Amino acid sequence: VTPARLVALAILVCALVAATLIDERALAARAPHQDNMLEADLHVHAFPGDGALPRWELQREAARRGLDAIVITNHNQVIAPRFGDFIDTSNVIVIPGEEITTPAFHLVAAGIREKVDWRLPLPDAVAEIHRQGGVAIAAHPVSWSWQPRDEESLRVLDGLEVAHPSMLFDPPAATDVIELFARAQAAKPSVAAIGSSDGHVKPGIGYCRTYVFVEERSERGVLDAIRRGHTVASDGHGALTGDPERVRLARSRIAAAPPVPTNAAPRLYATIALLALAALMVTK
Amino acid sequence: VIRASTAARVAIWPNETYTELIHENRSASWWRALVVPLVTAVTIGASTTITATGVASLVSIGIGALSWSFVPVIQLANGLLLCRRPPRGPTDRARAIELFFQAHLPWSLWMIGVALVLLWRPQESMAIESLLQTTAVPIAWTGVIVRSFCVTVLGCSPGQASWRALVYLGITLAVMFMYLFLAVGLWPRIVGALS
Repeated sequence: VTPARLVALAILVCALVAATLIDERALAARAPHQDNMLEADLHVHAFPGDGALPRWELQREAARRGLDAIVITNHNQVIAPRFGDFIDTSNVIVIPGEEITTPAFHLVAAGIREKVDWRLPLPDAVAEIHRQGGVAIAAHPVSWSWQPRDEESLRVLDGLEVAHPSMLFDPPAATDVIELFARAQAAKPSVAAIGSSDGHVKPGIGYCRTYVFVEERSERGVLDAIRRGHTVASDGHGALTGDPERVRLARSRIAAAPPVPTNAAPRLYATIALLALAALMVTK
Repeated sequence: VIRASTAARVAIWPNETYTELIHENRSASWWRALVVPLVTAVTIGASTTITATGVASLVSIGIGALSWSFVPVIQLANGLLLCRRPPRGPTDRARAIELFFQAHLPWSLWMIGVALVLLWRPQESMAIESLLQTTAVPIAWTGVIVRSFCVTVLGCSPGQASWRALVYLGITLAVMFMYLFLAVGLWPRIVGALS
């Protein structure tokens, strides 16, 4: 073993230990929101599937991002939320779900335990979600992923994603979704405004989020609040959608929140660790 | 002070390095053969976790490595298939697998590179798809190394080695495609696009 390799190993160990200490301290210091306004990301992808992180790490990442609840929604499967569900790694509520991916629509089913068949038409899929005690949310309802635009289809929904990272880069699509939400509200006044990250790898979870006004801090509490439409959607850039009084409350929470940390130190340690790992691989 | 690792020499001079390695008088052991797959699992765990969270915590990397450890297991199975009935005659299987896994560097460096790029990209830039196109580099590079492994370690003729390398790459790509097919719900999307 050459001195170069020993140095790389020492740097790697130091960077990992420093990053671990900082992270564990931050996680321990993080307190969940104590009032009835929870922050949730209701559309998150996980491993095994097209998400990078398994349930255990998603729970920790949700805590880092100040979330109180997440819904794991992989495409046409409900394995990921059950993968390792015997261990909780933080006090973040994890709700099982599915992103029902069909040729005509993408539908988030939150609070279900059994897979919903993607071949079902929208009303039948929603009926099956309700039979299982879940809620049905139109996922990123832009033209490529959401074709049902008639009043009957909008009336069966419990919620609609009005804030999603893809809309930030596509203003016409965002306008289209806001118009669709207005039509959904006309068809069903209690339809919930939802903000979700649809996190796979990047942008991270909680980038867009939903403020959920619950009566109890539990999966049931979150699902009931969505059914009643007691939500505010946030796009992460200051735009809030929902009932004006609840928007005011959410805005007060945002204004009172401490500034978001820059994450400079964790990123620096992560960079050093990756470079040291690469150096270990190429040196003897 | 600085010397290139075996994996680095295999990546740059595969024929010469593999020839040198098979003439080393070294006893084979499964423990040594499985060290690189373990390192590969840690590399995948570290790169996926750091890409998604920006944090290099030992706990998070451990969780990632445990979750993605099925990837080196599949590679091990693929490697055993590649080393089946070598023309040179019975070779110690543990030694052959140890040498086969020395071809890991292109993919390992690619994963670390992608993690570094995504770590410092602004949160708003979402075009991960463009980075996925760069997988062509580790795929082709690994193909060259595996072909060289087949010629020098397994004793295949150049033609046989090309076939074995192609079958190996075909299996790797088929497994990757199947995983993606199921993970992203590709079939309904194809039906939607066709209709």
